[in-house]
Amino acid sequence: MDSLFQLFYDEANEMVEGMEQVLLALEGGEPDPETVNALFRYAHSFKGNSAAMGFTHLSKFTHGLESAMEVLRKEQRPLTPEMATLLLQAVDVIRTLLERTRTEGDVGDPNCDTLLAQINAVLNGGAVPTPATNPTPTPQPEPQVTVAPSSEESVGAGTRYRVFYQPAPKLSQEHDPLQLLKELTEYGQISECRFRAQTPPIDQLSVDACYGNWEFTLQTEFEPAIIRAILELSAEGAEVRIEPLEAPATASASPIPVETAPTPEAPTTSAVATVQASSGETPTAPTQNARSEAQSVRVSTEKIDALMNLVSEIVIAQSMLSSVQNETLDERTHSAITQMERHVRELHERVMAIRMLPVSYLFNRFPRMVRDTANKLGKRVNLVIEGEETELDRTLLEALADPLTHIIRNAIDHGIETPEDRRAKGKPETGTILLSAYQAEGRIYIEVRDDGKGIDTERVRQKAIQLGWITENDHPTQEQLYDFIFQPGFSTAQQVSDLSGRGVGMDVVRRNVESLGGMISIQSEKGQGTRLLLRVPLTLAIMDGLGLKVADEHYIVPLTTVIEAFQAESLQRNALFDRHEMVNVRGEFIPLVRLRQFIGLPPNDESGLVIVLEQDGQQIALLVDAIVGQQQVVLKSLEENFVRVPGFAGATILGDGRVALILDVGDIIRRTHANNERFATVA
Amino acid sequence: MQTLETTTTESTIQEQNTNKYLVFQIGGETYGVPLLQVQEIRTYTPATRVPNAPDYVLGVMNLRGNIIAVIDARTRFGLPPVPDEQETVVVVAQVQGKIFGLRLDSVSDVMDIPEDSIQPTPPIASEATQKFLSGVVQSDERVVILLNLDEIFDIQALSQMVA
Amino acid sequence: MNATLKTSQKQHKLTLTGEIDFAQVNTLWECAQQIAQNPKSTLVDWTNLNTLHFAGIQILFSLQKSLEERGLSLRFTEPNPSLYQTLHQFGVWDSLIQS
Repeated sequence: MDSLFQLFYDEANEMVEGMEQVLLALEGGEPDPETVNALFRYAHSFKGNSAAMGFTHLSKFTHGLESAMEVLRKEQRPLTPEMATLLLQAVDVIRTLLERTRTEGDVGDPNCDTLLAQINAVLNGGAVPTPATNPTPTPQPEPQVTVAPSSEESVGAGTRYRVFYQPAPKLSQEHDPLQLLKELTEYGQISECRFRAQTPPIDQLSVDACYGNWEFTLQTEFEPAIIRAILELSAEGAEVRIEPLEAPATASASPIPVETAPTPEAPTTSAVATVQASSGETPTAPTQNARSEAQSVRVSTEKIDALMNLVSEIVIAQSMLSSVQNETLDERTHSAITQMERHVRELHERVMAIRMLPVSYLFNRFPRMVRDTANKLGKRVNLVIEGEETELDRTLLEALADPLTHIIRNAIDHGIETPEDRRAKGKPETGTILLSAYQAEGRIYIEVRDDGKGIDTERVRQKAIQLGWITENDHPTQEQLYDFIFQPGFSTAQQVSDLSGRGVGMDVVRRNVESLGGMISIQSEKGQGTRLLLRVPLTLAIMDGLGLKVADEHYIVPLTTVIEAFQAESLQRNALFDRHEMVNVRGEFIPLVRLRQFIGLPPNDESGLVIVLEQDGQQIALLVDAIVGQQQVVLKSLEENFVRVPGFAGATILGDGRVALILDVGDIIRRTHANNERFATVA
Repeated sequence: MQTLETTTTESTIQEQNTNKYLVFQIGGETYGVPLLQVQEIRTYTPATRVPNAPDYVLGVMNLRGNIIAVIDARTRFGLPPVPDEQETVVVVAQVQGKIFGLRLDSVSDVMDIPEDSIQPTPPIASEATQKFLSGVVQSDERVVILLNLDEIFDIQALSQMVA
Repeated sequence: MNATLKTSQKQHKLTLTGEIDFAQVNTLWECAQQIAQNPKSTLVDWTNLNTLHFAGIQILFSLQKSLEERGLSLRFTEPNPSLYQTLHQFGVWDSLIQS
């Protein structure tokens, strides 16, 4: 996709999420004038962006929304639950439109006009025409937008202001002061406009800097805060001064306070609140601090990835340089290399940090989903989010969206009981789902905990018997029963619900999480609730590895999987169970994997080293020729230009420029244990 | 009048229906691949072996930070391998969005081949290698056999073989 | 190509056409630098220019300043009506012509 389109969609999706958050935040408490202002700005930016892309249907719809917001704003009406629901529907329509626009181009949606008509009906004090009485789009082709701002309406009405406008210092594709002024003409009449050019000669000109300022008279019915909001759109740092020229031309309620450029100590009217919040580049919900910080810079992910690749190259070059260290180098070169090593490491960490996003990016979508899912099922659920400022690599964030969505849906669908059931059990009618994230031991933990009915292990057992996985006489441990839940083909829901039963089960969730180098575990107490714990690495791209040598080949194992290593001679006598070789490590038998054999090389007589590796609570002992040492490696995909190689998670580039394959410890363990089923009963 | 235009120059204009081919020798035969598919030619440095891959996959190598597979052309055609020489090269090409390297004994030159001079492949080769060939061209006393890179680096078949 | 520069013994002629958004302003910027390196009076032909990002307008202002410092001039052809409307309404036209 065109990068401009991509940018538009990324931004649009952020705005949709932002609108949703604002609306959901509102439901709990007091309607805040800032909420309506924020919604207005979202609708406005959306309209502008989609118009710029030539998406007429999107821009028309958001224009209608913007107008409705303007009525609410101006008349300081409270946002009723009725209106909030309609607006949430409007957010859905925008989402649908966005998706259709992405796949089909500039197309409309029949819901647009119906919904705008409903919104206007509520605005005008009428009842909401329900979709039932209005199954087809309203006969009127144009929605009755009562207050679409147009210059005609503004003629002869409103207040006259003298406006001083110093655009934000940085120009960009989105930030064109002339465009903003043009937009302003939709809200009022500009006259006596004077432009002061302060452009330097060509040899001192910086193309993306804005020189010069404007002063003009504006006649408008809109409040100064709105005017300011428009002139502050698309870039940060504009200076806007608005002064009334005379008494309002029409009977207006109260005199409007004179506004000056950002002055925190200005009177605390709602207009001022708008000003402060609108100084950011994109409208932001007042409480979402993590979010607003993340929004302050917009860099395309391609650029970051390119930077990351380059840094990876530098890391490799650096390790090549470090490997010549031992040879005769003079003191200065030596210390320069050491110094550079330190800087490269820091550079690397900093670039990695750019890719990190607060997990709120992911979590923010859930309040809405929980609300809708719970409503659909007639359940009451309170979603509590903790640790949303925890940062995670953006690739991981994206990849976690589907598994988490599924887990949370499951919790509502199968976990939380109906209010009646809960009351009968002496629980509060409203169930709670706790979604939390935290960082520990260099990994990110994400936990989903509900206070629902928990997992009925007996039912799981019955189901497993039914599926023929075990017999009536088998009594697996609780852990083994939980493990069934993650097996393909298992689903305990009596009937497949349309919410959770979309053919995606916990097996897919586990596979997704594991493909990210993570793991998932489950704990449950019947009647008390269920807790799912996801553990994922901080980042996918870089990891600490242990270099191994077999014959003249180099391999890497992730350091996080390494438990211990020792000389093979000190091994207790190997035991053979059913052809499977086991080693005795301090009284415990662990399956032995001979790496030579695993990679198709002939065995050698020399004894090597044994490394005990662990993943997901299972261990193997890996026999190798030698250990090369610990090193930081950049994980590269084998699949990107080749194919997936079983037993290997990817490859990396060594200091000498050669490629080494990275062992997929989880996969090797699974293969070994699969060949080794009786192990469990013997050990 | 001096004229100065700031316009981008068009890339080399090609004669109609004539394509450039990279021409090389394997086992005494001359082969050609469309130059458009070729990204670059590099001197061969030993690749890292990929366990359990077919023998014609020499391994993987580092191409400016990307991991690419290296296919040995001789082994692919069922010819005995030859040791690395100074002339041994890797032709980096792209098929179906994936980049790979083809190890060759040497590269001779680039040829213009008019489309209408390409003839269907006579059944000279064994059936196994026949599918690698997309046509032959008779030009100045020499016969150039055109190769179908999509078959030589057959991702679908490879992903099954390695798995 | 949105910005084309032709140079004769006496003057430069800078022709701008179509829609010049922020990304395309670079070509205009390169032309302006060429003019500044080889200063001659310049005629800007923008008869067929529909839109111009403000960054581009600034380049024209800047070029004008550079040329005038050397006693040379930057002149303009009749602009396209919609571009003129924008430039005029927001005071840019007057500023460009009067300076």
